[in-house]
Amino acid sequence: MRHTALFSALLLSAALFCISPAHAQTKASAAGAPAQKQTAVPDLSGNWLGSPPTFSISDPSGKKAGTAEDDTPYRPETLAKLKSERPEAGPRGTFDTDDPRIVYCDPIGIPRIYVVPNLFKFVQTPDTVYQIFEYNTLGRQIPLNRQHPKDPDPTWWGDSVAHYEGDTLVIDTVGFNDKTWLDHVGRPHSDELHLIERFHRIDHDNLQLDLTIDDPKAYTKTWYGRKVFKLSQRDFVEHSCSMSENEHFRQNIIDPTLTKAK
Amino acid sequence: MKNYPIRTTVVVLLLFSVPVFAHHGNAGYDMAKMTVLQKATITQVEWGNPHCQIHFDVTDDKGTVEHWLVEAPPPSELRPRSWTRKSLNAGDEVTIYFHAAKNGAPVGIIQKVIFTKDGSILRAYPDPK
Repeated sequence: MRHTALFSALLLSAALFCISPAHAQTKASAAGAPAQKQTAVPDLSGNWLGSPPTFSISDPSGKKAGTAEDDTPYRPETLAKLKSERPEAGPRGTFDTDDPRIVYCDPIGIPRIYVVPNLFKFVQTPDTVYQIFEYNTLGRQIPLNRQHPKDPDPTWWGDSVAHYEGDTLVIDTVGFNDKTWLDHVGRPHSDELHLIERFHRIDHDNLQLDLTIDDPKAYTKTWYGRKVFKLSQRDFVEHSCSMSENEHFRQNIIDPTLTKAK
Repeated sequence: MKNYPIRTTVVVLLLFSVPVFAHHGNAGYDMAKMTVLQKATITQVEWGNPHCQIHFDVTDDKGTVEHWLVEAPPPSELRPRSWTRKSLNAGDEVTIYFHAAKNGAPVGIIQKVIFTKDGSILRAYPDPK
């Protein structure tokens, strides 16, 4: 995936090359990639609304994170890292968070981008699937039917490629750094994370995301997540993370709330 | 926190937690209690990220004015609830529902306001079930 700050350029290029998802598509492969014939491209159009705080199937509310009831297959050092964080939500949720996306406006990354209560949409073209996120006015470019580069540099958003399997869009991402959290309760990942996102419109108003989290450095086995997004009728509203606004909010709300009772 | 007369202050104990999710979580607020202050006067509305901020004043039995500040969701969440930057203005008198800080600081997270003049309602979050 190539992540760009040139959001307007993304929108323009997406608009120029957008096709009807119902059109038949045959995509030639890039060098070395197996050719994949498409008879139809699933229609993923619409504004989809996410919801907090996790995509964990057994812990959607995040209340179990790091407790004895948490069935996430942490390696010991991963569990220790989870418990060392000060997340905003979950059993150790605190106002005095060290969440880097709040403290520093760090990129939220994937899959955590799906647990904010904001919209996202797909723009499907013959060569590329674009994701446009309301949160922080982000765009994601995902080339179709290509292979990952060898030994990609670790980045916030990793390197993503995609293909269609019937009515499902499959996005495969590697090449992450280890600085983002998987969700709002602070589940960590390593730079060996291999993430597979499978988007499937289960009916007109519901889009299901099935996640495969394969990260042998951080977890003892592959584990799975799920999120169902609702089709929203509202339009995008600007959302931007600003350090100056965050600091103003901290001074007004967070700091008074953290001071000891008089 | 100061004591407010019964006629202007109501604390509602909630049987179920409210599905409010601020970007920094809710750990600093008493989510089991809803504080209701009548005849609150809005003094400033800050429309922005990461959260809108609503400043208001209330007057206790002794005539002492106390300044409060409550956070609201960001514009991206308020606008879909038909709450625009012009919906609530300085000088408006309202009954305000919010969860106050656990430590007694005069801050909190808003649930809704009801305008004194006509009873119309602005909801920041869906009402608790």
